[in-house]
Amino acid sequence: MLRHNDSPTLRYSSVHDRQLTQLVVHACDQIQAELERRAPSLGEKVGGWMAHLSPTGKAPDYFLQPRMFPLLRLPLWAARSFAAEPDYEFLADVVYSSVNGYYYVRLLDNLMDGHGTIELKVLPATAFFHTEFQAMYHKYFGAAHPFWEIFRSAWFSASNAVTREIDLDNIHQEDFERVTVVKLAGARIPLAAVGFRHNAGERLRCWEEFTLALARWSQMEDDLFDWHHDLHHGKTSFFLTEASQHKGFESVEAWVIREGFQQGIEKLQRELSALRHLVAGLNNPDVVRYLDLREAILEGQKIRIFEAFQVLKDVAAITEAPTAQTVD
Amino acid sequence: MTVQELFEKALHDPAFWSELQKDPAKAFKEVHQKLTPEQLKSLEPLNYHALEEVATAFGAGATVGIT
Repeated sequence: MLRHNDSPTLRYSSVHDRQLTQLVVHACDQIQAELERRAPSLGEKVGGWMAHLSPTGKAPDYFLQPRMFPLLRLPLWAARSFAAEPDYEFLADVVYSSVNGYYYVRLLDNLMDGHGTIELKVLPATAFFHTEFQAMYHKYFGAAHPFWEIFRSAWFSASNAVTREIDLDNIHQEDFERVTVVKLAGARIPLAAVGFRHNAGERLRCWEEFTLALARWSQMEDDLFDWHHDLHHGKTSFFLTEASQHKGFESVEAWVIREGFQQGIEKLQRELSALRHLVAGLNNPDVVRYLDLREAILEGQKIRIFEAFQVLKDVAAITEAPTAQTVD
Repeated sequence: MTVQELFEKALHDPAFWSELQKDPAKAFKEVHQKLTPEQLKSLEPLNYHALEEVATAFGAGATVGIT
């Protein structure tokens, strides 16, 4: 579900390009077709799950939401900066792989978080998603290619971080940097593939650095906007740990409304500005446009949520007044 | 009513806010609270439509998830 009121026009004109849409639609169609051919019983259930995740009921739209971490966009942006004419057949395969990889992680993550609805019934789909995520790269990189060391390093460190985070009762700054952010290391995989395919050499390093910094920012944003959901599902986060340290005798809700949300969103705005320092080395205007859009979305949310919180504070101040009487 | 209770109502009880705009005395009577005429008057000018953003931003399933 989208967490903002941005118009469809803003959503689909600013960030999106037609090419990405086509690739994502193709990837989702391909998943469905492969499942129907090879595992029809599973395919039917997985198709329903993929649709269920999407705010529109159409699987591709899930990946095209502007607030989503741009896992599928980053390889395209990087390819365009590495080559005047990127290998689009390869990029279609990268998007297909990444969509499968994303579903693999989403499925496990939803189960581990307790968000699962039909996830338990489609759990066998992890075999399909992981195979399709990995197998595509075999077309392009032999067993001894250095890509596979990056694949293993990123994929296993992310899995290790997920395991470590489960055992944390609180997430302090150091845990956030060393555990939570490392969960997102898988984003390096499609990027590394694009770098090798287009002989990016050292230019890949700037993209990796930016990708991990953006993933870190996106996690902070998720923590901020998911605070209530996390709180009521007994899930800790960096933001909730900060809340428990600063709330004093208040409830978490009262602290968030009084100052916590404001502090969180101002931090996000500062961190977003800092991300712009990493953009210079990327040679890609799409990234600048993306950050501009994220900044605009964030500012809009800030204004609307501050206004809403002010109404809550006003009603509380009025109705908590000592002249109010309890009615039996 | 505390700000915490009001936040929960903003998330899960749109009927309360709808009633509050139409008839604040009735809305609060339903939650067992009687307000003074001064309190009822103070509630009138508030922009309750702004509260839709609370459910949009923090409602169940609001996250798009990055992992």
